[in-house]
Amino acid sequence: MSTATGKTKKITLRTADNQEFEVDEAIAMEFGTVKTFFDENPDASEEPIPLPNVSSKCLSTIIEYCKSHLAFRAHDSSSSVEDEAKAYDEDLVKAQDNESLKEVILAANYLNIKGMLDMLNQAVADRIKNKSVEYVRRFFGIENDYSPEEEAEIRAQNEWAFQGVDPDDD
Amino acid sequence: MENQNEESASTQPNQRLGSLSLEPQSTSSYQQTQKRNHPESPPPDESHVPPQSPKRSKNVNSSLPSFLSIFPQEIIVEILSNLPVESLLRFRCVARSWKSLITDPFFVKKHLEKTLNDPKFTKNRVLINTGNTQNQAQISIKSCSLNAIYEDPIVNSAGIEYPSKKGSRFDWIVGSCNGLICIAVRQDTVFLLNPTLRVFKRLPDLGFKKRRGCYTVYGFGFDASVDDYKVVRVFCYQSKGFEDGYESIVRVYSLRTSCWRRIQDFPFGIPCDEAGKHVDGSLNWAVFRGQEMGFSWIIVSLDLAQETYTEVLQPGYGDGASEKTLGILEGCLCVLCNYGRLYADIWVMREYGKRESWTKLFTVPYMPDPVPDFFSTPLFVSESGEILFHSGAKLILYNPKEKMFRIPVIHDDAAFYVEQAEIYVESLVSPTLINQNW
Repeated sequence: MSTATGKTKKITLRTADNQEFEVDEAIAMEFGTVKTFFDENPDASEEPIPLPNVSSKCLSTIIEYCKSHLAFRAHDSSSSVEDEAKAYDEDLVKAQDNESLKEVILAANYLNIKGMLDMLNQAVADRIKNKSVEYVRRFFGIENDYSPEEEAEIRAQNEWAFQGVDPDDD
Repeated sequence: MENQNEESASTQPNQRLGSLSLEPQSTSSYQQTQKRNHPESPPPDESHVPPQSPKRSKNVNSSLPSFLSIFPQEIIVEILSNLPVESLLRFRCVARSWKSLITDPFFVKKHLEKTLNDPKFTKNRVLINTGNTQNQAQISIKSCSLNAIYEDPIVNSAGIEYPSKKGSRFDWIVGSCNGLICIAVRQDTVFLLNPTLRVFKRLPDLGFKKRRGCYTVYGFGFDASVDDYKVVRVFCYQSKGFEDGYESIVRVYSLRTSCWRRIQDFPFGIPCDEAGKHVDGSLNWAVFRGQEMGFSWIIVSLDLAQETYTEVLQPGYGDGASEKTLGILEGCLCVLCNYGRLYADIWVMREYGKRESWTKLFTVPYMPDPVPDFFSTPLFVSESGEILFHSGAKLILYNPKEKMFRIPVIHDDAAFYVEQAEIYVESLVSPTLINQNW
């Protein structure tokens, strides 16, 4: 909401590691949780909003994403803007190692940013689709609860699905 | 079932943001099905799973609170539903809970929905029924990626496996639905297969004795009202003397009941010798109906739920219309109307059953080059408007803007010709038993 002088309303967010981020209202409203809060409390005070589940590193990535995508959407939709948005997303994802990627997903989920979450979920799928079973277990932190015989049986059932898998070097 | 990623761990009620709701997008009906007792997994042992399981936080270098190393269930579901079928088959090995998830009918449906709505068509493939140019008796069914046909200089193809007699010339693709394919062998034996899972099911034989001048056509579709896949078999035979024309015996096979059942016969003539086309829970055949004035080409639809027949009214094709072919284009009933050998118009019924919704999509010219044969109904139209057909012995692409044809090159295709082509998707739907853990 702009005032006559063109100043946009700012909202302050406080992360788990006690850093404060001041963002334009438009960007904060991209966070479903924040939007819901303000919809239900239109007269909320101007105190900083605590986000105890989000680190400052994550929040700055998320803020950059929302800022960029708001700008993309402001343009008329054309295939070149779509390509730009896609390239932006690809670069963002490339810059995240597995741990950061997981962190950002959890933060985007907590903040209820559907567009970003869908994009990240697809990015993880692309990252793991050619990986081995062991890699996936490590990625999601899952223990193998099969007996060796049971696991061997499943592998034998669909041998071809285990061929051409990326080597586990990361 | 040992639920490694407990839903409750993620809601963190003691960390609520004022009155902000922290409910993650949850698929509540999914949660309920997950708690079903799957026969293959051990009974759930709740005492085993601590709220923040230290064994899962292998990230000793992470400065994050440990709950962040656990993904809530619905995120795992979202990620997995983006994966190709082959990856999911492999990841059944990750843990028991993952196997339960991947084989759960709710997940199979969710994965299918994502596939059907994928704007990039990454899981779409083209099934081709090929004959061997050297040895006419040898037939084999292969598949290629749809995107590869449009984009790759040479398209790879993979063989489809199902029991087929060597030298059989009569394998016919009946149709596909949700990743399942129906193949009829010698008009007698029917297979339902999912080529991506490499699973097939042979339907029980009906043992009809062949009579002179008889033939059998099939149709394959999905009846959403009972969540069931059905195969329809129309046995057409000459009754009494030739003057009395043809009659039909119609039977329906349902995957859930695993048996054939007779239903009412075709009321308007009998279908032409082509498989029925599945649209919206109905199967549609082209029929020649004999009347005093002669024969007319009409479309008859069989409603799979009601098991009743109706005629589907056609648009006005105008003067000069000659042979017509019935097909499906992107889920809509489609008619290719030829005007001699000059050109063909392609019509689609955008809203099934509504005559006013017939829309002429494009006109394709017949040219001696590249092929002089009639076109099939179009299989697919790409985002750029290029149309995929099957004509003569080849797959063909036509660009209506440039008015240009091109022929995709399939690996080794000097050795074969294409008899039939059909689009299908890669899915987890299994023909062996709908609810069984495969």
